[in-house]
Amino acid sequence: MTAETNTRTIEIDVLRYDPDSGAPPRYQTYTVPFQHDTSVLVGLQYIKDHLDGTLTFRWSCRMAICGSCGTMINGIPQLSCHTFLRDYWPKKLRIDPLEHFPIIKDLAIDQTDFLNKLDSVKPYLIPKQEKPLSEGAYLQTPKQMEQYYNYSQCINCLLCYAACPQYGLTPTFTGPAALALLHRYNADSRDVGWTARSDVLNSEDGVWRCTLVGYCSEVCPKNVDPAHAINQNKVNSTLDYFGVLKLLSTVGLGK
Amino acid sequence: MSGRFKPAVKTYTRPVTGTWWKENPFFLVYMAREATALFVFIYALVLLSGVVSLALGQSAYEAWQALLTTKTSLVFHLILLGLLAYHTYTWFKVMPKTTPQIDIAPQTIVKTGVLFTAGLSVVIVAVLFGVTR
Repeated sequence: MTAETNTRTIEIDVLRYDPDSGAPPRYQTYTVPFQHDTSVLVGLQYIKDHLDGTLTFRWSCRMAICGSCGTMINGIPQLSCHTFLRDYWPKKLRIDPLEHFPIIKDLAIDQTDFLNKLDSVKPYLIPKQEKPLSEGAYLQTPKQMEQYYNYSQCINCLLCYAACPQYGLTPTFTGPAALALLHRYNADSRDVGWTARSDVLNSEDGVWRCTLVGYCSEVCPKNVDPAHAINQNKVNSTLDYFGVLKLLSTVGLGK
Repeated sequence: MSGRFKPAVKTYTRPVTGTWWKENPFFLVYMAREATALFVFIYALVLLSGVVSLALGQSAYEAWQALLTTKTSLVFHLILLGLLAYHTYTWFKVMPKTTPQIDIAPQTIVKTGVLFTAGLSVVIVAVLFGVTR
């Protein structure tokens, strides 16, 4: 069968918002031809290239690694490059910008709130003592690496924020990805930044705002488990409150 | 949140509706977990009323005991048992999310928790049955 005869068409409803007009968002329907391997992102690109050049959306790598193309596809937060039109045909498809974020234009959201939260968790190694390059790498065992490896896979795509009803209801919540990255560094044997990050972690808008809905971990395209990162730190936060963590660190057990 | 990154000047914020939890089956399961907590509270009230009736004297306590043996009360207790068992299970289901990073499969943690609680419940019922018969 040739590619030509294999082509079908699908209707896509896309939420449009034009900041210049000031009018509330509305859906616009496009009819898009597709083949077996056409992703939702390629469908959006077809709309922009052939049907409506004013449609705005973010994308970059097309292979689920850059985290740019997150959208709500039929109400589910997904990477549009990682989702295929064939799975929705013959029904209609609805595409919205990621939930819980302000819309800048069409499917492009304002990520500023997340960037500030990411900044607040100090997402970098804080070593006990800086050493010169000449002294070589900070060594680590595979077991020590296992403690944080899962969380280091986060690509900041923000699907977890769109999946988190707590973030929607209380936008001051630090949120899944930022807290998962906070834990990624706290759990690293080369890092001593617990105290520097504890204000964010222990606060009401830190781990305690999470009510363990757990959908953040379900939608993550990289299988990161933010719900696990957050909820194991409720135990750590409690131990910290009662001074047990400090006690453990004096005997070399805590951080 | 304030910070060094400044937000876009003109944006549109979509409101969160009161029916957000109806829009995804995953959220319905979450709300079922949260809602069944209410029945834990209701059963706590049942037990508390027993303590209060005991404090009020023998006749009040016997009246409370008699109330528990009515058909309506038995059906009510069976419904509560089902809801409380489900509520307990939901918390074992999320238990793997609360443990430190360990080499035990999440399903093993859930099964161990459920089996331990079921076993402990059987032991408690057996002991109570032995004490009160």
